[in-house]
Amino acid sequence: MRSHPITALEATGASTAPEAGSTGPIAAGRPRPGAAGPGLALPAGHLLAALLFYAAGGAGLVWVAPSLAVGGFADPRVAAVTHLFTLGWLTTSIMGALYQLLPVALQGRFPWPRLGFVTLALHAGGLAAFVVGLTTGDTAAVVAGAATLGTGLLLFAAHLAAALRSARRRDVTWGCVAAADAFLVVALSLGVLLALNLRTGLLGPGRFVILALHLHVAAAGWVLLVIVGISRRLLPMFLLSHGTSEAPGVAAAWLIGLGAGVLSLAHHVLPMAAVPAGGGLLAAGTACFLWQGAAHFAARRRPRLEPGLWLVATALGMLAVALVLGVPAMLPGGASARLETAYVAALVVGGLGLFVAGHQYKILPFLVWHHRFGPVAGEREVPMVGELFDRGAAFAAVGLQAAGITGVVAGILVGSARAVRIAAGAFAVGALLQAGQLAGVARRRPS
Amino acid sequence: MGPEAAAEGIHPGAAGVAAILRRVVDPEIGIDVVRLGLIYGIERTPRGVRVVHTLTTTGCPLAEHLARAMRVAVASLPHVGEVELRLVTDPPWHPDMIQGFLEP
Repeated sequence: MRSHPITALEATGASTAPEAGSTGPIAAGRPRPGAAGPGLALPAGHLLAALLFYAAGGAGLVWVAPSLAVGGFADPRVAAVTHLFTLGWLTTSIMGALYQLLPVALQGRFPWPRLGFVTLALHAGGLAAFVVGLTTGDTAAVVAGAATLGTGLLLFAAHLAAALRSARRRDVTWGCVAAADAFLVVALSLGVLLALNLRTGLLGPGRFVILALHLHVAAAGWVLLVIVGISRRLLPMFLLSHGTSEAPGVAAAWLIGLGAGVLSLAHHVLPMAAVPAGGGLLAAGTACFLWQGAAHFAARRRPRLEPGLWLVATALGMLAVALVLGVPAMLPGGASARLETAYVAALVVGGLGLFVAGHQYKILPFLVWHHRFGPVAGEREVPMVGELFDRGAAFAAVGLQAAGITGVVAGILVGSARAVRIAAGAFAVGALLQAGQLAGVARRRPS
Repeated sequence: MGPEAAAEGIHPGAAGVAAILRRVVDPEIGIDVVRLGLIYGIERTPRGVRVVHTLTTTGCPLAEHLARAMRVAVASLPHVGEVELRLVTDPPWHPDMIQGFLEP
């Protein structure tokens, strides 16, 4: 088909200014690498640190398999592994992705790039101490780690707020990230309360309610809201599904934002009866997000999915599983501990974790290409972005992670420690393979 | 290659420019810019040639690299003269502008 007006000579009604430098001589100097972002080191440093936590989290799942199989979600070792995923994998990845995406997508800028390295050091170092403290029962290390990583998170939240303030584009994505930034601070406050409770027992029997609020404000208010906002820009680009209605995604943003807001106020301001309402809003928002994701996949012009997009599709499926498992927990009387544990595993590792893992397969190679290969494109042969890593190994990593977390959730539901451990082992190998592959991508340079 | 040389030789024409632009591939999608539908027009100018193009996404971070690769490719043609790139966003790019089917 040759119907495109490639030979058309008429003007196209251009409404934008010509690209900067487009009328210059052919031998014009090279564009400044990474002119649209903060450089490679800051986002890539975060993404690589996140991969370390991801691999550690995978190994941790194998370690705590017996506790998971009996529904021991409150076991401090399970809490340690959970934080390797939530703070180590999800939050660190989101930080790195925002450093790259926010300047491009929202036309804002992080005013103090060096602060990004400081917050990463505080966040990663504090998290390591926090996790070690939880696993060894050293409450002093838990509190010190929480204080350190909390300082890092607060500084990041302030930095992100400044970047959002400078943004020239204020759309739904901006609203999602701004609200998520506030929920990050709320989740942190509730987490610090829980850490102090370990030492003082000040929360008494109410600690499980605070734990549930902490988990959902963090998972939905912070992580999922960022995912909803950023997906509006990335999924059409990755799937070539431009033109798909965005109404379900906008509804998801509002519902999740409202739900997380209700849960944020539930402890001190609203009656505790508001908690199920908040949970219901989150569930409705998640369903809308799944609808939006399915619509993008259905409308895609790319018939063959890349490894990262297979992970994203699997993540949407696991999010649907989490939605089904989470509903009984909201009913009067609650659910069994095993069901609640399976729900958290499906939500945190399967839904949110794999979604971010899929995007890491897209974002990190793109960053490396953009900063290292892009400046020499046209002068010499350069690989495609997807050629920076081995597809076969990537598909193996995807399959292991997808099958692994599915097996973990199923194993928890049937109460089989052996099944959980085997499935967690598969997941851990997949996560390690992905981490190794992407670390290799980060070292790639033009020959 | 200056305008004088362009006037002396045989200009490659829109077809020649389009052919050379097929060597410029979007590194993320893996399709050349012509088949992708990013080229809206190729115009002869008094000093050379103007390529009117768009991007798959407004603010695409690959913009500078694609522009540079297109400029280098077109400039490699004999007698082409000065190469001007004009970025437009109207009409916005849509996947329906891709020519033919993508690889399964």
